[in-house]
Amino acid sequence: MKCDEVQCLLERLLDSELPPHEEGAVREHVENCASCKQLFGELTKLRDALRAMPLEPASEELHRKLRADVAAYGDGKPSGKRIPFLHLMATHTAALVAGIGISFGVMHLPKSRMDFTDAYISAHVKSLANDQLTEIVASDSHKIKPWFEGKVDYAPIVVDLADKGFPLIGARVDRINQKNVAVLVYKLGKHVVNLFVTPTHAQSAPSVSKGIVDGFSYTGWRVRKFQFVAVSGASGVKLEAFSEIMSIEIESGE
Amino acid sequence: MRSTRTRQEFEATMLPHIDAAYRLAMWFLRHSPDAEDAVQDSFIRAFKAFDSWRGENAKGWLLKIVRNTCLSQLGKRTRHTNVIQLDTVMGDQKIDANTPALRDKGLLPEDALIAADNHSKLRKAVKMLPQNNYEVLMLREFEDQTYKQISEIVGIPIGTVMSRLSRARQQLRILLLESENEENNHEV
Repeated sequence: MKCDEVQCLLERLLDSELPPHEEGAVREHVENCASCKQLFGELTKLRDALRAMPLEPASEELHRKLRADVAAYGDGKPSGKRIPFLHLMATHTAALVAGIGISFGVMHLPKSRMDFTDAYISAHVKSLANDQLTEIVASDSHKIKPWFEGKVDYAPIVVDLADKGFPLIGARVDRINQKNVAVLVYKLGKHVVNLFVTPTHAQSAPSVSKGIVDGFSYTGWRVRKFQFVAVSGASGVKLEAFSEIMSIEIESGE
Repeated sequence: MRSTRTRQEFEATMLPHIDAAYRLAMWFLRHSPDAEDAVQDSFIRAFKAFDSWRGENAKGWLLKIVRNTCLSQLGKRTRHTNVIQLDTVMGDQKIDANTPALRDKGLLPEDALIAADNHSKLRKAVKMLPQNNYEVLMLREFEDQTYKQISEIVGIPIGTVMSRLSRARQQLRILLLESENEENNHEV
């Protein structure tokens, strides 16, 4: 092995990231080459010094709080005495449906994404404002799925996540970019989530990533040839947890 | 409410990583109360999503959640633009260790690392690393994550992990060398 080849691999050797057959050859070279040996020695010294640096631990108070939080939450009594993190989550979502005449400042987004994100957020706001959240109230996915027949030109995936803390409360059909789109409505703490489900081949299914517009979180993802866009007044973190759990549920189901 | 996994399992696998979670949050948010809030928020999120944990690298799984929580908080802080694109928060800015910009921007928070006096020179150098490179170095050396684990936490390809790590080390060595030279010059 040549020195320049070895030098590219030195850090992987240092990090124990070389496959065994390469590791032997690199070690052997390092042992017998003064300059590579020196470089490796320096890297090792630096690594050891970094690892010896004292790190700041979390406070005892935080340790205590987290243990208490988990204990309280794990026992399923979140509504009893005030639990700090629940309070925290509530305050995090304070910036919600403050007013309906909201203007959407989305000028930093690329045009196409802006239009679509805007359309979903508008649909979300409209559903809250006009009390048109659900056209069918049902928590049973087997009731909701057939309800969409004839209303949208595809069969959306419908999952209930009640046992994960996100109960399905109903559904409706929205008009988005000249297309009928299936919308599932879930409860997320004090908030509702509008979940727009479209097949990925449809024109109305652009890829939407995630972000916050005027206090509303949105997150988009794709599973099983469907594009999902969730919009809610809940925090982005909570919405992401929702999307994660939903994806897992869909991927593991069927 | 919990289905397959139990609270005891959560406590045994996730609670040992409170310090690591706090360090990462502290580095992102630079303010202890905010970092503590983010850690609390992250733990409840982790608890809710615990069933989705595949049973390996608990620390990495938790750190990824902490990272997302922090990015989302940082997003809220810059709400004035109304739209937050998370990738701009942690953009891949290229700062060379020798450029003055490194000294003005991209610095690590003062109190992210508390080092004893004998580590002060190294600590000073580490603080001057560009954010992206520091993050990867910290996950490797302080949290002992593998390349693959780092790539999952940060959401970047393994090749990028290796190049950032390599750049971080190179920059550290340059910075340490510079500080040594400065010292020597003072002595002359």
